[in-house]
Amino acid sequence: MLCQLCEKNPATIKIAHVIKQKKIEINLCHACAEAKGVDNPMVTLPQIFGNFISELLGDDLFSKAIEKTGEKCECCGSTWNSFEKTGMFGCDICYQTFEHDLNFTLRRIHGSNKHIGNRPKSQRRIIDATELERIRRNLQKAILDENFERAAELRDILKDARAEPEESQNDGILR
Amino acid sequence: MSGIQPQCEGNGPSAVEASGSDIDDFLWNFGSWLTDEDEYSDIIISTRIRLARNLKGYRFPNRASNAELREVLQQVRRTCQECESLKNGTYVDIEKLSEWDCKYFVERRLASPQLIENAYPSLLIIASRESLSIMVNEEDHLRIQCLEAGFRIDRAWEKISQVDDELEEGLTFSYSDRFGYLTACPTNLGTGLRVSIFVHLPALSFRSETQSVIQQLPTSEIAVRGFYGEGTESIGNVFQISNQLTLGRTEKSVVERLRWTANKLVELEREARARLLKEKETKVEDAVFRALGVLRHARIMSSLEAMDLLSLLRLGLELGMISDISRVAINQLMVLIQPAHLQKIYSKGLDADERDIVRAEFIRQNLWMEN
Repeated sequence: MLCQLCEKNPATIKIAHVIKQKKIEINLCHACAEAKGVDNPMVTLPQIFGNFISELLGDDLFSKAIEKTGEKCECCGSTWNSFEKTGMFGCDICYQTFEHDLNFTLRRIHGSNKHIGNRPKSQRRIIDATELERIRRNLQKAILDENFERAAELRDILKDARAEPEESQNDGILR
Repeated sequence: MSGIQPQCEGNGPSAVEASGSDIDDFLWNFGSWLTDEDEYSDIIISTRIRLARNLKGYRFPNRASNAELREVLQQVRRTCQECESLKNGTYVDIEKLSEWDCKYFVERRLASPQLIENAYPSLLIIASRESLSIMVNEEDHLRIQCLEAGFRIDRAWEKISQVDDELEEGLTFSYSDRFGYLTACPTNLGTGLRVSIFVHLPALSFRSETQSVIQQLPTSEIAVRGFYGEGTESIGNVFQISNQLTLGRTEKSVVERLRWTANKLVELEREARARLLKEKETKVEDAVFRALGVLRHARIMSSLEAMDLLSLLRLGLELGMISDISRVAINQLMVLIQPAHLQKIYSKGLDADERDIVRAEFIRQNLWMEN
């Protein structure tokens, strides 16, 4: 497939943007992707989506696509469009309302869409033996796959889990 | 002498209704981050950790009504007053502050420029000798900060975790199992954790190597920012190094990554200082003593010029070329010569030209006194 932007070079980078379960795919060559800054995961969101995708699809088409699928947060009135413009959500309910769209966005920003850090004190829970075993298995797999960053994260979780043994005997506490 | 002493009395209106001291008391009662030192203080000026938190059931400040934000203020104030870690804290009502007093807290690194620019009802809580502070209704409902001298990253983490847990006794934070702590901007989502170190890299700058060193840092994980944070320039060869990512990482791994980066920068700057002494000693000595000469004799001085010259003075001190001024005094001068601090020291309205004159005077007085 040819790059949809220059229509000359073969497309090597696929960018998928999901707006309310409607997937928009754009295929680019490396040079165009670099020129648009989309090879850099730290490019700010409005730059990626607001400017770049609307430029590709045309402003009208882009607005229509969003309007058609754009749901409003019942709590604060934010839309995916308003988020793309400001980079901000208006309330915690937005994270439920736009959960589907967020998967891609969070991966692009953080390289992950799942929290593995501390929990509020009231929600710190005991990890049972089965879950501990599952984390250990995942750790072994990450090491075999040479995914050392993931392995380090899992090792930290296990270390934390073992940090307060007196409260859970054989189990661990996950902060 | 360990630090800068008061030169003249400050006064002015106060917006502090507080349990603690008056705003002006901060001026000469330097926080621990401006008086303490550790084995990294030759390069790392301070370490800051902040956590972003929001209250469940309230819209984020960018969408909330003023009434909602005032409720948030009340809840947070009530809870903070019960927290052991925030005992004897000072509560500063940002809405009642003058523009200069707002800038004063930004220069003191206790408030962000955004807290001041937002028109939201907001509050700044300062405790534990400026080591702990909380901005209420900035971009998120709470921005909890711990600021420590040098590279006391473990102490900062311990202190901020303790405050976080104590606050949770009276507040319910927005949190989801999947996304972690929910924040207005998804770039803070997850841990809500930002660890920053303020590093002084004059030798790398002198050798024009700062940019190449910064480019070697893993930019997807580590951000290099200016003196007052995002979108600001580096002044006086001081850089702010922080983590970029907050989701899909544990707090511990973020702290460890910053520790690795800090150690690397310290190693490179120390090497650059050793090479400077070996290869360009006279040139550096000349620059340092010229800086001292200008600082001791100039009659007009801008903030930028003062910061650049104080940076050279700090380098001279670290290389053993000068010994009659302390590192702590230079760090304090770097804060005191900022515009809002000068306004407060001289306790009168000054325009930019007048400030440049009193800045030169203030530095002269302090540097001769140090001799």
